[in-house]
Amino acid sequence: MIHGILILAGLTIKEAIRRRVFLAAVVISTLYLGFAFLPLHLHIGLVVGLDLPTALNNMGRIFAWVGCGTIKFFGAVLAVALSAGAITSEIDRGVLSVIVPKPIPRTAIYLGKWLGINLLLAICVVVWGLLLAGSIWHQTGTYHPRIWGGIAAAGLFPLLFTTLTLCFSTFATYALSSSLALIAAGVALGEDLLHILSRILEIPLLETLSRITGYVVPLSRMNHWISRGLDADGGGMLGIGHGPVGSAGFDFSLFLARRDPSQSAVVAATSEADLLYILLYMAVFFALGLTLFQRRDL
Amino acid sequence: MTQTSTAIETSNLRKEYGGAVGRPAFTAVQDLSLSVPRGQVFGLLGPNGAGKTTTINMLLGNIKPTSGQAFLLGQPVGNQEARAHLGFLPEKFQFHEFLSAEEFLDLHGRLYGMSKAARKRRIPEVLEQVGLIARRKSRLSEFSKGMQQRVGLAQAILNDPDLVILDEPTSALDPLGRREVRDIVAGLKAAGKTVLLNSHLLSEIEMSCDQVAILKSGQVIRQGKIDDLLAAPTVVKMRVQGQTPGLIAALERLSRTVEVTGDEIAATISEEGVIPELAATVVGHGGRLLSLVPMRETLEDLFIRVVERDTP
Repeated sequence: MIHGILILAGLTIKEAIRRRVFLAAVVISTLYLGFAFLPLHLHIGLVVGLDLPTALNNMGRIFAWVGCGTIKFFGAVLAVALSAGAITSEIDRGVLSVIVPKPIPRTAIYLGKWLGINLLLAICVVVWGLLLAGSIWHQTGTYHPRIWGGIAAAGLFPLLFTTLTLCFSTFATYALSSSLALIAAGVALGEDLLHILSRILEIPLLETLSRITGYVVPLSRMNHWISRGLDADGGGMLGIGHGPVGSAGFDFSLFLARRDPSQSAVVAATSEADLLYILLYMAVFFALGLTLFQRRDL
Repeated sequence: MTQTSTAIETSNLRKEYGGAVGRPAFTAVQDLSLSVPRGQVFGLLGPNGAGKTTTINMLLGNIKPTSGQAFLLGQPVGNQEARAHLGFLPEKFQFHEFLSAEEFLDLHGRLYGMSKAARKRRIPEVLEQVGLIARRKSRLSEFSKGMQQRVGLAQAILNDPDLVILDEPTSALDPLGRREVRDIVAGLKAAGKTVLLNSHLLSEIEMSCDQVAILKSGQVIRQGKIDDLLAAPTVVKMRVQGQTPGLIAALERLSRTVEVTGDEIAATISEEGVIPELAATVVGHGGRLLSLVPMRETLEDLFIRVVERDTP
């Protein structure tokens, strides 16, 4: 069983590498690399009113925040692109027709694909993270160890989208699986939208719907974990949940609190239970996908 | 593994599709009972939509039967141990074209659970058998459809299987390739292996198979040895010189009808045993028998006859 999983994981990686999707991953890497050499002239134009080290440090924090956002986005997009055609499309094209009759259980085929895609995406996330950290250091001369907490949390996005889309691909074509994954992402966006609307319109029902949406697709919880990952102990990289850090200029917690005080509070209230829910959510979809694949006719 | 006398055994195998939300169910295969003895080449025939591919997929465990049972090599369908002794070439396939022929076979060898030493020994052997040894380093993307079918056949026999299921194995091959596949099938039979052959090329089936089953609308309408299924010759064509009215009259007494066209005489007979008497009659009446050809029914004739006329 393990033998079969590893063979198919290796095959999935090899197959992904030869696809344009992997080329996209390489292009994304060059974007991070290119960022390092953008002529931003931070030491001249963006530090008005601050001493240079503080300003550069703040810019490094902002770059880390934005960079983690791009990693989660690109990771999720690649996850959908790699997983959407993994099962039904391969059945339709006749790729699986010579693999399924081999003396390996279908579980091994499903696990092998899931593992292969996630290994590849994990490598992408680590490489992008390294390039991001290196670019921030090159641009600002600052290193933020907490960035790895944010990158690790951003890595949950490709993991969740792989699990979700692979499950969809057990019964849907490439186009439909991708669409369902996009719909899931759209539903997740609704959580923040409903939350904001509930504040503006003062309708408690919308807040309830927002919370329900957060359970249906827990992307916001993962976003909170990126924030939490970037947050330093006792004051933090972003200063979330610890009040103003901002004696030294740009204060991210104040920025976040001004933009949306309740959201800031939600991030501050992020707990391990949220992470547990995210893992449980993925486990449920993984089990569902596996069951569907085992039961379906090929 | 259990050693049974049959390689494939099905009992009232049935597959229905649909039937939910008020729509009538479509029965692809109904009450299929097959018994394929070990060491034989068995042909599966039938018009499009007869249920051949569904049957094969049920045997492979790719499709779950609605009811009935199936056993491969004495084990229930889907059994991993039985699958290790099974080779399969599907009709519709797409291989990982970024792999070379050797890498492709190595991948499938590993999926079969073959050791590195066994793979190293078998891969050149099977590539030689399918005529691709010179292209072993070439990527599959460079292969023609026929060459891909050959490499597919190579993966089907890589593990030295006891049972080989070939679904349209010669559809993309030229006449030389077809002959090579026939030779491989004959070689498998000589080595005591069982082959289930699904092909539209009836001449291939006739040349290769010991037994056939003809499917129509998901049911077996004929099954047995080819010789037993084919009708006895009913028309004997002769070329005779020195014909006389007496000779023709004598032939008419042995036959149901006699048609004379120049030197050629076509005699419709009731049974095969009459043929030597026809020859003796011609010679006995002073005729010069230049040729005598019993017009035997071909598998194609049989197929058309039973598929067009028989109602399951």
